[in-house]
Amino acid sequence: MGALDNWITQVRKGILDLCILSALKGRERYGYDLVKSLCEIPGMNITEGTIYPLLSRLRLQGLVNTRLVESPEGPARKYYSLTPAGEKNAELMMLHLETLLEGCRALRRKGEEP
Amino acid sequence: MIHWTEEAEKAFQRYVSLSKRAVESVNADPDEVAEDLRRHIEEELSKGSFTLITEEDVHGVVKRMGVLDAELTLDLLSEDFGERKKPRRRSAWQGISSFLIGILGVALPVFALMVELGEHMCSDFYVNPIPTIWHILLILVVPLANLMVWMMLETPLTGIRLKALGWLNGAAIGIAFFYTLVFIPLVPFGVVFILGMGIGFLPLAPLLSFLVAIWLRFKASSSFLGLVGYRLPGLLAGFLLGILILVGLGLPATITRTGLKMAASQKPETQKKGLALLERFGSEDMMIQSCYQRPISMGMMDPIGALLTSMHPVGSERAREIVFRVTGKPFTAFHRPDLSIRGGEFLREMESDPDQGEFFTGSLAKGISLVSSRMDGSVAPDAALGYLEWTLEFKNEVSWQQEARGQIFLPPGGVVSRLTLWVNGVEREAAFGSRTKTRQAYQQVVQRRRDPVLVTTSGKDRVAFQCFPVPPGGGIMKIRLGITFPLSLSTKDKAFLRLPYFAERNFKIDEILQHSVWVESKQPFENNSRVFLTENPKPDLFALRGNLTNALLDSATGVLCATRNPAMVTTWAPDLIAKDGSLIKQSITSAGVVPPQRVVVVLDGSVSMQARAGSISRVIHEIPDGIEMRLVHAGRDGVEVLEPGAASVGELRTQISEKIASFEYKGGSDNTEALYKAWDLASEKSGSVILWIHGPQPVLLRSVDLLIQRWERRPDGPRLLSLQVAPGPDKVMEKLDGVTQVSSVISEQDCTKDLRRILKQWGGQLETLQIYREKIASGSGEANQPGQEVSMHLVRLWARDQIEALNVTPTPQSTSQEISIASAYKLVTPHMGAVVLENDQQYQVAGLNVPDAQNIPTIPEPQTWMLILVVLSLLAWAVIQQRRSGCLRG
Repeated sequence: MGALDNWITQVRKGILDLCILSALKGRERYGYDLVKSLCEIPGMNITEGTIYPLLSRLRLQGLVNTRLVESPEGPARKYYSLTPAGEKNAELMMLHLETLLEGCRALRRKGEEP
Repeated sequence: MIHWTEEAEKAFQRYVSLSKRAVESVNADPDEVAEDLRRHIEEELSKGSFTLITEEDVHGVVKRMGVLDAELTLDLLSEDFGERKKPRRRSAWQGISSFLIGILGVALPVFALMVELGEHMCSDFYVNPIPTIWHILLILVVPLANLMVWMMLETPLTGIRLKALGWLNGAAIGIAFFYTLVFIPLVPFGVVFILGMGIGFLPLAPLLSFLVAIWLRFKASSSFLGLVGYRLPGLLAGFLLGILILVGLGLPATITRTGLKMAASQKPETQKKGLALLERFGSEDMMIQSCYQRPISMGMMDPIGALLTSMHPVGSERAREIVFRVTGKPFTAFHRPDLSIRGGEFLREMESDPDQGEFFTGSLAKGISLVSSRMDGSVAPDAALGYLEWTLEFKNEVSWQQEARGQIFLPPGGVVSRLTLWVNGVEREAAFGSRTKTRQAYQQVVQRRRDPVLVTTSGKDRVAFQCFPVPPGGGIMKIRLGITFPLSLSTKDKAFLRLPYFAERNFKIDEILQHSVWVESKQPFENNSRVFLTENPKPDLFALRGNLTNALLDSATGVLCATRNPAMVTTWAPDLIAKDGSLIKQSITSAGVVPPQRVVVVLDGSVSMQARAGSISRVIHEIPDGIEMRLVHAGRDGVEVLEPGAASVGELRTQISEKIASFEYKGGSDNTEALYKAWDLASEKSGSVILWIHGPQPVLLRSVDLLIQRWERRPDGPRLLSLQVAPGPDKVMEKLDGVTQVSSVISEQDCTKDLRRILKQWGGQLETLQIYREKIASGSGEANQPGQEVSMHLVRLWARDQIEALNVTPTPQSTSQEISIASAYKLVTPHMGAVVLENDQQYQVAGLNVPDAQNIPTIPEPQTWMLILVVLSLLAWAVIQQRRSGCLRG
């Protein structure tokens, strides 16, 4: 594995929780729909089976809530939503990520100055 | 409504079970995740209008969802993260690999096992890989596990069944690894044979099945559901379990081997520990096997024990001693182990009797048995003598010639006076010659594989016989021993005959075999036994007949009692052999017995004494007042002496009696050290007696030469009285043969009664009868004195007396005289043997006189007039033959 690949993998790992929490910001979504949308994030390149354990862990950590709703189209759906702690964590994580990105961009700008 | 098929449910559960570890590793709830996954699959499939979820559907979705492998989830950054496996395709290589798995991993080990079960090839050449049924089952685990894993590759398992299979595969790897190690030395041979001749896969079976088991594990781990990173569980646990079970199964052999090694040590403490180890945990079968000249490493699956003891394995002779010390029985008392030889001539030699032609009985020979036994006897109670012929037939079931050997207890005071061998259905009589000449003649003929039989003495009242060859393939060899014996008299109105019996033997006697006994007398028999029937075929003839098993013959049932006229105290017989007109006169008188001043009781501590200890303890208390007592206990772990200290004579007697009852009798003891000690104690007072009460002594654990030396230097030393309480060989008495200070108690009924009789005689409560035989020269005034004329057996018993007297102080002259007398009267004595050879030429080559028909004892022994009649008949027959041949020539 090259240095870039390794870096991408590390970033993917670090950002996955934030992606889940971000996907639930302001609305609740049922699992299948949530998983499908996460898998479609360009460059994320994850499988569906990997997300359910993370969702379970986030619930146990008190960052998401779940509820079951009967569906006329198929099985009962499990809806996920952010808890206040989840919302706060999502905000903090996003802030932290943006700070890191901003710092990174600043360094790059400095390097480009004559 | 969505419905899952059973297979789909299994596939899903399997996927979930595989995911469990990964889910737990990220601190998620496995049950919740399982429900989510199920819901996801249903959602996905119901969107596509699926109402029935099949196994294929599950596989399809699961493959796309990706594995929840532990490592993958723990390390989401691995390069395989999210990678979807490509569906498997059946390639040509897969076909070949399946074929190899089936042949090498399943069929070959089963085939190798079947071959070994049928042909014992490995047992014969190398080790016995299947000494127990458990080894067979364990070996079967290997092909079974290989087959199951192989099948699992096509039909996936889940949950507990999956785990069990993982363990089974682990155990198969462990078992195959163990056998691979055992068979490593044969691998090069197998390879060479395969390269050279295309055969030789059998010794490679463990290695190949081991490799296949490992291969299958990897294959299952890598290709299970087409997912990456999966590992079949239970490798280490199963592996260790398989190895541990095999090591556990070999544990008895390891312990036995170690115990034997320790017991054979020169250090007494180590010896003791070894004996104790063998007694508690040793395998009797393996100990017996080690007595048959086959190293214990051959046939045992205990590589640990083999490694520990490989430097100096315990030899068969030493193993025989140890078996006696542990069990108290000779190794021949146990069933001969099947050494499973099925090879050619070379291997047959390994199985054949290693002691053939030797003077000792040695080990049980394979396939040789006594198939017929009859005793025909005649007793003359008034003359206190008799003659008995024991005819024995041996059968040899194996395909090679074998020797039948044994040791016989004669009636007390008895002597072998006739020996016959049937050669091609014709009786051939024995030549009597010096022991050396007869043995040499026998051994020479044995080497040439012709027909001899040899009888020599082997201790007081014991003879050893050897006959060869018992023909192979069910052939029969028939011999007859004629025994002249005195009857035992405890009172003047009764005479006892102790029938001869086997002390030891190298042939089998089936429990159903019965010794057919027929004894006649002119006086009635006393019969209290259910085994014998009394008959009165003629007015003046009484008979006792019965069939005895070998166990009954050994017991007190083998003692017959005939009534006698108490007034008949003088009998005589002409000495027709001396041809000088002399006669032998026998007188029965009451002898005054001088009780010993001191009796040193030597008590054997062997287990064979256990049953008699209580009764001996009670009887020993009856020892007459005025006789000092000492007790020397020959225990397995050492000698213990009970000395009087401050105790009075009566107290000491009680103490000794209690000690005898309370001793721990175990295994087989070395009695020689106790006898040395007893000799020292007895020699402190003149006229002392060593009363040695003991069981069989099948193994001479220590030399008795020092004891013989003491009697040689001090002929007036203490007397040794041997009372053997149970039938069996006695190597100590065998070695003391010829020492006149040593005698055996003449057994009448059982050992307790014998002991009580001795004590009563010492106390003067019982008359001691003495039989005295003397030669009356022709023309002597004594020749015409009254008395009953009896058979020539009286003359033979007189000759035996003379020989015994000569052996009191043996010298070259006395030996020469002994040979001269025994040769003339045809007796087997310490320096004389009897041998039957096939033809006259063999006798001449051996320097022996060709046997003639004269003076051959018969039943009943003919009186003088009968002998004259026989001689005249023979003469007439010879004259007629001569005339006939003359006519033919003319």
